[in-house]
Amino acid sequence: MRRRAVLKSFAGAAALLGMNATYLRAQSGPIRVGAAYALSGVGAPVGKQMLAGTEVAAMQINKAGGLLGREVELVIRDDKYNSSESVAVARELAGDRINLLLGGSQTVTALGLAPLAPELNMAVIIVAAAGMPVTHELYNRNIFRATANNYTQYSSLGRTLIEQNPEIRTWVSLAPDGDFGRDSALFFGKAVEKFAPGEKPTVLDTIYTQATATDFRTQINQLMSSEAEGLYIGIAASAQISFFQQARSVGLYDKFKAIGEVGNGDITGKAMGRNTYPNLWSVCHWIHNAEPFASNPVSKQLYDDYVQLKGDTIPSAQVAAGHRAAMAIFEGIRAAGSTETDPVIDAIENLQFETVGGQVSFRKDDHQLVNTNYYSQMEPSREEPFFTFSKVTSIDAAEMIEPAAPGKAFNIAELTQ
Amino acid sequence: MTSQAIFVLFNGMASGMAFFLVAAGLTWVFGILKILNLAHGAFFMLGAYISYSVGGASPASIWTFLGVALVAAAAVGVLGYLTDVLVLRRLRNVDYHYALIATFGLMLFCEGVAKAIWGTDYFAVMPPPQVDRAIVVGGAYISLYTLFVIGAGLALFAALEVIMQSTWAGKIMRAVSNDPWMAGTVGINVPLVLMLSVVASFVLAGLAGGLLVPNQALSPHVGASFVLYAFMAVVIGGLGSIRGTFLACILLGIVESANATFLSQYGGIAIYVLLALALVWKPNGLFPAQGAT
Amino acid sequence: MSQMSLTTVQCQQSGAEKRLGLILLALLVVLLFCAPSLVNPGILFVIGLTLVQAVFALSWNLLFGFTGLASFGHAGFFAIGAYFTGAALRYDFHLPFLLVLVIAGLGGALVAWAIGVVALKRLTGIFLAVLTVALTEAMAKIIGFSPALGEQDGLGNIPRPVIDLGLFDLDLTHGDAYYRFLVVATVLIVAALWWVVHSRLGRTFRAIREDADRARFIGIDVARYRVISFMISGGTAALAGALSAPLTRIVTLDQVNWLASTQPILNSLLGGFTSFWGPIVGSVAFSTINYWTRSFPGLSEIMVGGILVVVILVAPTGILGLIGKLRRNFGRKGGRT
Repeated sequence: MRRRAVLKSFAGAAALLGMNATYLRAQSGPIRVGAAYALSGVGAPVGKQMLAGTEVAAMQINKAGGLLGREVELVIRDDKYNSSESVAVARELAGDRINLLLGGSQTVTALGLAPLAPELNMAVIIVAAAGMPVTHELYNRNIFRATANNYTQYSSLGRTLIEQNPEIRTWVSLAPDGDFGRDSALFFGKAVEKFAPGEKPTVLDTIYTQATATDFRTQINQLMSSEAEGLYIGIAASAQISFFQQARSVGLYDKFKAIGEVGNGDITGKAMGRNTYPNLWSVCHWIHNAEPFASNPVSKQLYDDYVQLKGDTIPSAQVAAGHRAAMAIFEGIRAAGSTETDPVIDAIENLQFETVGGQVSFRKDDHQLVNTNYYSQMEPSREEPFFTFSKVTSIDAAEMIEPAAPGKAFNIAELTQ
Repeated sequence: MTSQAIFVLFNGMASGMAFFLVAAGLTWVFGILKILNLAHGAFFMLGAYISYSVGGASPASIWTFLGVALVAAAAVGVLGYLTDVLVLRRLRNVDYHYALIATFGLMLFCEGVAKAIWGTDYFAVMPPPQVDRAIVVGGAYISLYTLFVIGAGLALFAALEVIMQSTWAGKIMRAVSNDPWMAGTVGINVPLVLMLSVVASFVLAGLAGGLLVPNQALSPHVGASFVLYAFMAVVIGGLGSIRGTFLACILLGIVESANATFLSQYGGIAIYVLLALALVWKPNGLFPAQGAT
Repeated sequence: MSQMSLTTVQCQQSGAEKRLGLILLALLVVLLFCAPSLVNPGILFVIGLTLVQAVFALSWNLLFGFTGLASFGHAGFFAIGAYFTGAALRYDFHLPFLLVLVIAGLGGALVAWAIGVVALKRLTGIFLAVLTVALTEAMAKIIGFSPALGEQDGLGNIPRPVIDLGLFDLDLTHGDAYYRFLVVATVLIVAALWWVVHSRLGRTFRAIREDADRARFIGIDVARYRVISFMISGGTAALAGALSAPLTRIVTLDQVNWLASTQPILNSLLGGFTSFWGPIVGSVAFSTINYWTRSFPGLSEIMVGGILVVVILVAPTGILGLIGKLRRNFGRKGGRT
């Protein structure tokens, strides 16, 4: 028993002492901002792109002389697309005297992080989690959501689809089982009904599937047997690609006249290439070489700096999301003239700044971003990378956003729309 | 209702045959080596990636498609040989728990390697043109690729049965599987047979990868989704029994399909009920292994 | 297996060595208790998680190292404890927290009993491994269907408890109070497990692991003791989960998947599964490696997988086993018997 006890004691002491060195850090010097993204695991493809956008923002700020005369330093951590890890990372950064954090890049990590922010006295920008709770029942003063929420996003997508394809009279959704899937399909369907010019279209009952399934043939068969000609797909990532592969084989491409999808965007385009569905609409955060982004100075600068920093010429849309969230913190620090939590929060509440998609601001009541949301149409093409964006439309979030209700759970039935 | 039933049947068979393509190698290696290779799914995944790298996203014809699958099978066979030499050989005579854990570690390692080589982007391979169409059977939409998978599974089963029952190679393998000591005593080169069996099982994994790559999106996790079904089939069917695995795969496929069609709000749960029932009723599988286990 | 003889060797230690060992252990516990004043909150959180993983790994190793059964779905028990405790706190079941812990532990033991009674009689080894994996996957699916348990997003916003001890309240909601409670709880559980392992019950388990047939011949009801071991193991794993819920304040399906089930296996093997303290050593070692490599994302799978394979091939008895071998080698060289 003795040697084990000795070993344990030494291991414990060594670990404590070894890790303690980081505790004693200088207070002046660079402004340290935490950046927690999913850099490994399932969320890594998206997380890495967002981090790239944040890194470009930091580089841009430092090139222009920094903030408050100091350089900006990003303290980067991997939250592994996992809520425990995201909490651990936040606690670690807080212990390291960092009070400004970009995190919660996806809903799973945001839900664990949000309640923690007041306790750690941190100002947290939730980068891309769109789940309603972040600005409703989980709302607290210390968090800001730097992206459109699910209701705004998918209502706008539905409105875009029906306005662009008004001749389609019957719609149906395929959604993953769970809150997000049910809600996004519901928001989409309601918007299709509401914004249809002329007679109200029919929205059939949603067909559900498992989010992590690989075989959608049963659901595809149901879709093929239905009367719908317009489709919303709520499944994402590799599942959506499997869906398209299997659906194409049975002729779904001919049956449906328009498809809106949850937000894979170029991920689907890159994978499907020439076999991309020809009238595929998606949520679009950024397409650097399509209008209106191509003429936008912030967009052009982001693209050039991204190419310079990463050496890659095809940035993903998520780069802009990471860029936008970082801009919110940096501009907040600049406007507050301080890096302390409360002044920065006050400053961000009253902030307006330019992003690749135009001017944005945060709603004071629930710290929800109010911006312009873009939607893109994708189709196959004969040249590399064998898909292309053929159209980009936009809807002002202010037209579609739900009333602010911090502290209260969101319920679509209560909206008097 | 009947069109749904027809669909469940076809889809269930197709899923089942896809499971069997993956599970065949798994049950083969268990029958002879008594090791459950948890890394089997990872090698299936590598086979899929290799066939994508060699054959591209749009196979020109069904013959190129099959050829590429064979290339992938051979490549994975080579990897299997290396794995055998480096890892599996040392686990032959130790407690099977060690083998389970070591092969589990191997699976994680292979997934990490695949991510490092091919990145985390998703790919999609299309079925070859000859099977890239659909037919309508009684109101159910069925793609020809689905029928191809069914055909491939049946062909594999037939081939394995013929090899095991009617050829001298099969007889030798069955002898080694039933009683390795006796087989060695009568002059069979047991280590050689074991090595060839391991390589054959990996070849099957790679072949399955190549044949099934148009079935779903290609990602480092594609093995994981099949491998759980494969394990369940092998356990329900009886470890080491190819017939048992074949039957169990069909059962699993149809139950899963029926679950998705008729009880879609609780999708994915019925096969676990099936597993629990099967293990309670027939703990050693439908076709328990004979001989020294 | 010759490695098993290690467990007998360590009993032959002098009284002085045992006393020294106890003193050092006490010192470690004191250090842990004072940790909030010594390290930053992030590291404190990691220490808390490591304590939970240590208990989880101990529960797994009771089954594997001491009874010879490998469970590949142990995360299922952990999830039972975690989700139950999370729900009890979040939805305010009006139960005293200590009672919640007890119920969670009993819940895990009950489920283990149900599985054990049905499965352990007929299945061994590989069948048990696949069954445990499948059951955990099934549980994950069932939790995924339940909106009350948060489905895919998990059960969040779990408050930390206030324990009513009659004369006074133990308020664990502020600062590091819950961490300290966790340290105390861990020490108690480890002590209880140590007692079980070194009791007659523990010796019976070891007899079964060494040779189940011989154990049967001398009259041990092997099936019954396997079930008992499974129950203690499942109950302890559920306790580990229960303790983790107020620590992380969110419970998600990540804690119910394949990888979560492999953590206790890895920790036990890394530290040495032939020793009682092995899983604890392994948990600390793994947490440390994880923390040091946290700025190198994406390595985790290659690292975890590689470590497992290397450990099995090179040092199947883990860190403590290696140390034991070295110690005996030096002992021999020095001329001692």
